[in-house]
Amino acid sequence: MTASVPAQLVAFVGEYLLVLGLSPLLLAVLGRVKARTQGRVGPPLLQPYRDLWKLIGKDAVYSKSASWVTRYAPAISFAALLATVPLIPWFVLPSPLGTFGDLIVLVGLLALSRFITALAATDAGSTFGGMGSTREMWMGALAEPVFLLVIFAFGSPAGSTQAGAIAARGVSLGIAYASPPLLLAIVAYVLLLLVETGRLPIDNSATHLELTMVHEAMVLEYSGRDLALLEWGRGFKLAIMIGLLIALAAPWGISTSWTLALVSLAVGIVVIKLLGAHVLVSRLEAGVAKWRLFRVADLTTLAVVFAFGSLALTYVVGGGA
Amino acid sequence: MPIPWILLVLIVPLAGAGAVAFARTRDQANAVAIAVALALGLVVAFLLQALLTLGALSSYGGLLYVDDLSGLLLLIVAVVGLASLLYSVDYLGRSGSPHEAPLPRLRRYYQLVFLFLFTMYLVAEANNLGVLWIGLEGTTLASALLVGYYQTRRAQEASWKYLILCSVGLVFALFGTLLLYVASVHVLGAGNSELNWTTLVSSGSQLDPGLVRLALVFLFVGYGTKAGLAPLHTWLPDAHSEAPTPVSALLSGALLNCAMYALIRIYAITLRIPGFLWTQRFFLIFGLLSVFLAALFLFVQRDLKRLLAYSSVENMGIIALGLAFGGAIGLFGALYHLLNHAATKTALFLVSGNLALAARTKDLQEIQGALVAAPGTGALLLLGGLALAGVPPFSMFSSELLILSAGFSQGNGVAAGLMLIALVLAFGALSWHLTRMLLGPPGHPYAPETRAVVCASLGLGVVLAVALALGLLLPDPLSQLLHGAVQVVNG
Amino acid sequence: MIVLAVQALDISAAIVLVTAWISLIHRRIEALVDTYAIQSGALGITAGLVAYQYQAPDIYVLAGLTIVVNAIVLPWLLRRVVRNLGVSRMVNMYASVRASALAGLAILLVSVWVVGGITPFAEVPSAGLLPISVAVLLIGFFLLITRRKAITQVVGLLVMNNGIFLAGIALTYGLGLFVELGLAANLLVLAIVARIFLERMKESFDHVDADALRALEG
Repeated sequence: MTASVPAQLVAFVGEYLLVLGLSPLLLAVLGRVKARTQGRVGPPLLQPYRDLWKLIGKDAVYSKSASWVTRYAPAISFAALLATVPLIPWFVLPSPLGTFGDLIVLVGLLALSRFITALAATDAGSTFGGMGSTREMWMGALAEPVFLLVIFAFGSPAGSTQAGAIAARGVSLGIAYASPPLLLAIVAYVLLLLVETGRLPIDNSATHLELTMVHEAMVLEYSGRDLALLEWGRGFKLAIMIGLLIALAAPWGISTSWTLALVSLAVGIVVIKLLGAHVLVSRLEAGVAKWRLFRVADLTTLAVVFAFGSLALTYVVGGGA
Repeated sequence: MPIPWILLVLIVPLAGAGAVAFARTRDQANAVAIAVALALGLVVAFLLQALLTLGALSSYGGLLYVDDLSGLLLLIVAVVGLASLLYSVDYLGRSGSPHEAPLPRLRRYYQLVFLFLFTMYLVAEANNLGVLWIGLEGTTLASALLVGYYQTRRAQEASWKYLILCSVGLVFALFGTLLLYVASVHVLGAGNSELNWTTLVSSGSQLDPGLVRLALVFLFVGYGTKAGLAPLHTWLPDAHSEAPTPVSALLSGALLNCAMYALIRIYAITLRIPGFLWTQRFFLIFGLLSVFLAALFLFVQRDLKRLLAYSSVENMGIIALGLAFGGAIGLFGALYHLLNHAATKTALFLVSGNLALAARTKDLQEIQGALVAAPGTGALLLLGGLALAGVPPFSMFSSELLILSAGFSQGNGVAAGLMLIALVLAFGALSWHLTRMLLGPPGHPYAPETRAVVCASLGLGVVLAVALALGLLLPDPLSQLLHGAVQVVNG
Repeated sequence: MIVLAVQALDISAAIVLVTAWISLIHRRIEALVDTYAIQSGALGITAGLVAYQYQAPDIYVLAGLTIVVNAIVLPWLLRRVVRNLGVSRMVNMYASVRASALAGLAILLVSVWVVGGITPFAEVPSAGLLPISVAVLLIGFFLLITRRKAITQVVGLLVMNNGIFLAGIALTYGLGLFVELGLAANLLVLAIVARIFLERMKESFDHVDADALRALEG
């Protein structure tokens, strides 16, 4: 069923409002659940909004040796992340502009965002920036091929690399969508998500210890508006990765019709799913200690194993058919 | 009401294990052991008599089942068990023996031996292949602690290796059993008796060959490990050499045959599948590997008990080859060899125990001139060694001859020829070691020959008598049992 | 309803495979034991579902046995051994974590390749799980041969048993009550015997590294 252009437009804007508006809150939920499991109270849920508001109100300060790359990088990085939103079906199928690119484009956009941030971190010539960006690029080199493999694992039963098509198959199959290959793909994706978004045991956003930090080392030079964009982008990226997981792994609840009631119900469901998934991620994080950097390769290897296993089961055992 | 001999065979060892826990002195523990040994001998004798007069017996809704093939294994376990228990009484139980054990250890030793015997009898009497598997795994668990009895580093290494390797092997065997069950359910539909051997044999012709072939791979790896077939035999020399001598005799004389028995049961099922030759092929490959590897390893051994252990691998290979050649003659030869090897090898292990006591070492380099230094033990070793090497008129010669002739007459000339070469090699190795041990001047002073210890000599006498008697003439009941067993396998 | 149970079996098989793979990357023994407990629990729940599906009392017993013995008692025993023996908590391996993980994948591919074609039992709806069971069996074997500590070898053995158990409920819905009782008893005795050994080894070797067991060769 195709909807009218205004309805599509409203949904399109709605998706952005949902993800952009919710992502600081989700990050706060994450921090709070983690604090609770560790016996602390944790910051109030609105704290990230206040932080962002404060940072946006301040001017950015640049190092004398910084070039234009440093100035434009936060905006480019944020824009690349913004462009991925329509590629994921959030609450309605077919999602508006959902067919203008597939998940391979999404991987490319995330890589672009990563690349420009890393480039900017080396730009000013500070030591921490260079250290953070080499680490980040090394992890990216490990994660991106695996990401593609995971996408193929999710996509091959549906015969498509478009998130919309995969989710649509899931919605139409209902409970029968749950199958061994899907489970393996989900585990692979979760492992990848930890690497891609820099969660524990890979990176710890709460530390500024020079030996261990990765992402924090890269954004050390930034202040004011630019820092606001980067911090927002960090939560935003997590929301995107988790949103994609929800759309691929548990698409049930996404509305396939454009009636207002059903769509608003679907919005409610996706918010609950996002909150739930963030809580799960923070639980996972609270249970582990940070690993040595080189164990990242262990994690991505395991993700490769799961993704490949998923593909093998799809094609040979026929679990996905 | 007829006496339930089938059940008594299982109850007696369990009761013995219970009773020995109450022994207050070593003499009491020894008395229990002798009583259990004799009682088991009697019970099995009566059971065999019932078997020969009445035919196959089954009991408890077909859960336990005794036919001539089980009868053969029961006989072997009973004879070896009797000899080994009597020998233990002198070896570990008698005060003043160099291996004298304090009461708690002695009690535990006897308990474990009784449990070991129980599990082996369970293997012999099980109809359900799952129960048979449980029995075999039980033998591993009971005997692993026996192998590690001395608790030296080497003994612990050997027993851990034994426990893990055999357990792993048996897990594979369980998987094979499961696949066989799937094949059987496929034919018969779900019920409760698909794992019963009797059911499987009667529906054998309909089993799916592809599935059975997959099952065979796992079953051979599993039970083959336990039976000591090369190249899965690696636990065997260690376990046999580190265990106390009576336990080595049990392992080699009884346990290996239990695992081989399981393979023979499977073999009987697959013989019913038309045109299915995989079992014979597996037996051929494993058999040839075993005889050759063992024959070569026999030359380089430096330890008396390891020498005997490798000879066990060789003989298991010979039995496997007999089964591979098949036919009435090959089968008869294989089953006959099973019996001969059990009796001869048990006797030899017990003699080697005496020799090691006299020479104060198991090292083949140091044992010399045994005929001069310890004439009695030396003479027994000579007899046993000749029997093991397959010299006529000992029985192993006859069974090997039967297997060879089956091979040549059934168109397996190449394999039979290879087996002959391996036999010659093994003969050479054994006689080389024997001459070195027996002849020449003794290299060092020997302990005065153990005074005629009643129990040990009795135990040794039993098996030696069986080994010799089998070669000179095959008693009628025994021949009936063997022919019956061939019938059971061949159908 | 049939569809639901078959799907539950499929998912459980996947969980068993996932946990088997995860057990390949653990470096701490406790984590390995926990993973084994989760794997056994998943199997027990599946057996319960199958029992509910077919209203078969003996499969209920099997499910209960699995949860009690494999998921609770055995892990408890193993944890106690680890604590009491004071062995170092690390899993020493011959193969690196990455190599192990990739070997796990290779094992699945080989199993699929070798036994994937054997499907003479169309009437068993979950026959497709045979390759997964074989893979779990072999992963357990791999764990056993590439880990040095005696206790991790025991865990490998137990993982192998879980693979068989998966095949058992997937292909035949159990092996019959009597046999299963015997299997459970065997596992328990195995754990106890292993414990006795480990304690003795500790006395004579000061550690329970099976790598030290290298005196007997040839």
